[in-house]
Amino acid sequence: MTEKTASLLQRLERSEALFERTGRYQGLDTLVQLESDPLKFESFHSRLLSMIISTRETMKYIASSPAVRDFEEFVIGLYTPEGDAIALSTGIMVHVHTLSEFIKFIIKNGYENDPKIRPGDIFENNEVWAGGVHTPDVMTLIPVFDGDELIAWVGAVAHELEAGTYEGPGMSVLTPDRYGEGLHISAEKVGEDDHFRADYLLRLRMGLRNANWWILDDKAKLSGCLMVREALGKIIDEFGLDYYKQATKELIEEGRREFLKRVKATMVPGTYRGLTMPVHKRSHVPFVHPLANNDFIDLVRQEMTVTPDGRIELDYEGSTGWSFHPFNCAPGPMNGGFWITLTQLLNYDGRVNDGAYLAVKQYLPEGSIVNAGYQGVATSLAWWTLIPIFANVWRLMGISWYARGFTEEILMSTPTCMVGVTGFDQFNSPTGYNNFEMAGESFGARGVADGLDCGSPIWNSEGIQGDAEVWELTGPNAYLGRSFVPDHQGYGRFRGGSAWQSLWMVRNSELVNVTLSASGCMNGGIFHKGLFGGYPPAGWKCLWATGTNVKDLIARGEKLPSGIDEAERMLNDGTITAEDWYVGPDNQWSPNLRDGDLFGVLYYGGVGYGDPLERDPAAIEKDLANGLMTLDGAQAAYAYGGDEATTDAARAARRQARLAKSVPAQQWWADERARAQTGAVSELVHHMFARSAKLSDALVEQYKAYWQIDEFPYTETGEPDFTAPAPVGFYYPKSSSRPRPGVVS
Amino acid sequence: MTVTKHTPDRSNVSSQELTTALVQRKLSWPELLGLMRAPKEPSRFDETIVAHQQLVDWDEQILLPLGENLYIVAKDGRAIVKTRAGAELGPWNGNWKMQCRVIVRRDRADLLELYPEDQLTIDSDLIEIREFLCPVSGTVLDVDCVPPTFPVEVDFTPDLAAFYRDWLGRDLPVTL
Repeated sequence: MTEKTASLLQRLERSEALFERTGRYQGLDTLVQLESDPLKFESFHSRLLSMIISTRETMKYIASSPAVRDFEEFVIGLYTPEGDAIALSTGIMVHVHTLSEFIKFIIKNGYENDPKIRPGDIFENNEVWAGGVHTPDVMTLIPVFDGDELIAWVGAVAHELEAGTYEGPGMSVLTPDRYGEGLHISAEKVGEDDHFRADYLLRLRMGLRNANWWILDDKAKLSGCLMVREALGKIIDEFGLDYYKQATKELIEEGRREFLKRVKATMVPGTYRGLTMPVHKRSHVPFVHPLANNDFIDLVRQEMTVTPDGRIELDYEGSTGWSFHPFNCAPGPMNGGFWITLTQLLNYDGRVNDGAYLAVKQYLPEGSIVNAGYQGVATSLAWWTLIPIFANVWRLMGISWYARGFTEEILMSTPTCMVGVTGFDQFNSPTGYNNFEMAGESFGARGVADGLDCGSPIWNSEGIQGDAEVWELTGPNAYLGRSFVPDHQGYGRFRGGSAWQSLWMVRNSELVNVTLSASGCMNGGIFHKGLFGGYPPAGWKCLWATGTNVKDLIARGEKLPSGIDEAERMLNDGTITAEDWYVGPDNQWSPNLRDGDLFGVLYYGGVGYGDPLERDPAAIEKDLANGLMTLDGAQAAYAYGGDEATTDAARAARRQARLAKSVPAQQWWADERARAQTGAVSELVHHMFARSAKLSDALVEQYKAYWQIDEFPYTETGEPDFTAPAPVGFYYPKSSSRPRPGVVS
Repeated sequence: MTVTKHTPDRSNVSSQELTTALVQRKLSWPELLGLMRAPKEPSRFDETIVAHQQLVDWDEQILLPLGENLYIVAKDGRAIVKTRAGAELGPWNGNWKMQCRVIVRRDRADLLELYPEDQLTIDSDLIEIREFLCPVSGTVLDVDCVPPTFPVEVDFTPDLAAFYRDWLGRDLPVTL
C-alpha cells in the first residue's frame, strides 16, 4: 500500500500507530531533507510561511465583517492529508488545531465514501463535536489534489459577530444547551467546484440576522484557501511533489523536537498548581430558561507537569461538572486553548506547527466542565472557562521562567469582558453582534514591566480595540466615552494593565437590548491570582439604564456621562432619570433599550507581579501623571508618600503593620479548622465543593488531608441529580482522566 | 513599561553583568527587547543564581529561585525554602506557606483596606484573599485568591533531581 493508493483513513491510522509506537511523527528517525540540505529546507519552509501570511493579508480586503476586516479575527493554515498543521498564519491561532480536529473528524467518519472528498469541494464546520469551539467560529476547508491524490488541506477560520443565537450576538451567555446557540454547521460539505452551494447560502440568509457578514467572510476564507492552493502548486512545481511530502513531515517532527528542546532550555521540570473559579449567576436575570436558572461556581483544578523529558501535561482532576449553560468545554476547545498558549509563549519562533501538539497532553476528566459529555451541551461561551484556565497556565509558565532566570518571558493575560447587542439597528434591520473592542484588552503584569494598558487578548495576539466609529456604524449606538479607570489594576512591583471602560448611548433604534458579561471575573469573582505577591484587580462591573432623559440633556446642551462611575453618580443624584437601571458586578441581559438609553462595560485590568511595596516610585508617579492612579490609590496600594524618604518610611511602617495584623499560618490553620470541619461557607461555595466531589475524590482527599478531618462536609450540589446521553453514531475527539495508581478505570 | 532614570551603556558588558542587571531590574526597555529577541542562552541559569546570591545576606547556596524574594537553598546537606530576608520555611518540597505569617481577608471591610470603595466588587462570600508574608521582613511572598476553606497549597514543586542531573547535567549538592 502506497500513500497514493491508501485511503485517507488508512494513512491517518498508520500515522497515529507510528507515533504511538515510536513517539516520533510518522515514525521519522532521520530528517533526511533537513540534514542533507538545510538551506533548501529553510527556503522551502519560508516559501510555505510567506504563502500563508501574504494570503491572510489579502483576505482582509475581501472580507466584509468588522471582525475580520478591522479586528483580525481570522486565521489560515496548511495541513497534511492526515490533518496535521504544517504552516499557519497569525490571528486566532486557537483554530490551527481545531481545524486539525475537523479534518480528522471528516476522515474518521467516512467522508471519503459519503459525501465523498473531491477536487473543488468545500467543507465547513462550527460544531464542537467535530473539533470546533462554538458556533461563531466558522471553519472553511478545501482539499488539495495532485491528480487523484489528496496531498493537502487548506483551512481558514473567521469569528462571526452573529451566529443566529437565541439572544442575538454570536456568543450566547444564557442558553442552557446547544439548541439556543444558533446555526450549527456540523462538518458539512457546503460547496462544489470551488463555489458555495446556493442552498447553503440560502440557509445562511434564512438562519442569520446579519447573513452578509458570514457570507462575505465565507467568500474571503474560500478565496484565501484557493489562493493557497494555487500558490502551493507553484511551490510543488519548484521543489517536486516527493520533496514536498517528505519535507512537510520533517517540518512537523522537527517542530516536536524543537518544542522539547525549548522546554528544556527555558523551563524547570516539576508540578505546577493552579485554580480558577468562574462565578456564574443567572437567577437574577428575568428572561432565563428554566434549565439555566441557577447560580453556581465552576471550580477548575489545574495541575501542570513539566516532565523530565520536556513534555508538558495538564491535568484537571477535581474540576466541577458540565451543566446547562454555554460555558462548557470539550477536547476541541481545550486543545485550542492549549494551542494559543503554546504558540504565544513557547513556540513563537522556529517551527509553529502541530509538532508542538505532539509534545503535550491534556487529561480531561469525562463529564467535567473541561470535557462535557452530553450530546446537547452548549459551548457557545466555552471561552468564559477557557480564558481563565489558560491565562492561569500562562501564570504557571511564568513561575518556571522565573526559576530558570528568563524573567523577560513572564507574561500574564486578562479576562475578556463583552457586550452583545440584539434587536433592530439604525437601518431598522434585525441585528445581533458582539462588540469586539474587547480584543484590545489590557495584559497582566510581566516579569520585567507593567502589563500593557491596551494590549491584546489571550485568544488573538493581533487583536486590537478598533475605531469607535466602526462600532458606531456596526450597530445602533454612539460612544459617550472610552477611558481608563484609575486605580483599577492588579497592584504589584509591576502592575497589571489598567482597566478601561466604554459607555454607549443607544442611537436610532427603538428596540434593542444588551448582554453584559466577563470571563472569570463577573458576579463578584476573581479572574486568577497574581504572581509572587502581586494582587488581582478590584472587580468587574457593567451598566444599563432604560427610559432615560439623556436626549433631554443633549437638547439642553448639558454634560453627559463619559464613564460608568460618572453615569452611576448622575443616576444616583437624579441628573439622569431612568425607568430602570443597573450598575454592578452581575452579568446582565438588559430590558429593551431605546434611543437615548445607556449601557456600559468595564474591561477588567490585569493582575500584578511582586510585592507592591517594591514598586519603583517613578513608575507610580508616571501613573499619577497619566491619570491611571489617584493619590489616594497610590497611598493605599503602594504606601506612596510623595518623596523618597516619606515613601521609604511609609513602606517600612506598612511592613510592620502587616506583620502586626498577620498571624502564623499554623495558628490560622488551627483557628480555621473548625469552620472547615463544619463547612460553614456560603451556599455557592458549598455547592462548588460538592460538585467537585461528585466527579472525583481528588479534592476531597486533599481537603481531608490538609485539614486533618475524616468527613468532607460538602454534600449538597444544588443541581438536579441527572445523567444525560453522550453522542452516539459518530466519531468525535475524546479525552479522559490521568490514570492513577490503584484506580481501576 | 519599566521606568528607568539613567541607563548606563551596557553594550560591552559581560553576559553575567547583563543578567545581574536583569535580576536587579536595571535594564532599559530596549535592552529587555534585545533579550526577548535573542536566543535563550544556557548560561542564564547560573548567571541568575550568581546575581541572586549577591542580593542576599546569608551564605547558603541557592539551588533554585522560587519567586521574588523566595529560594530553594542548600543547608546542611538538605534543600530548604528560604526567603531573601532569611526566614527558613521548611523543606524544599513542603508547604512553605504554612511557615509564613498570613493575613486572610474574608469580608468587605478587609478588602477595602486594599481596594477603592467605588471599584470593589469582589464578593467575599465566595472568595478570600490570603497574603502570605515573610515572617522576618513582612514582604508579601504570595497572594492566594481562593474559596473559603480551600486547602493552602504551593504553586510549584520542582523536580529538583531531574532538573539538576538530567537537564543541567550536574550533581545536586544536597540529599533529597
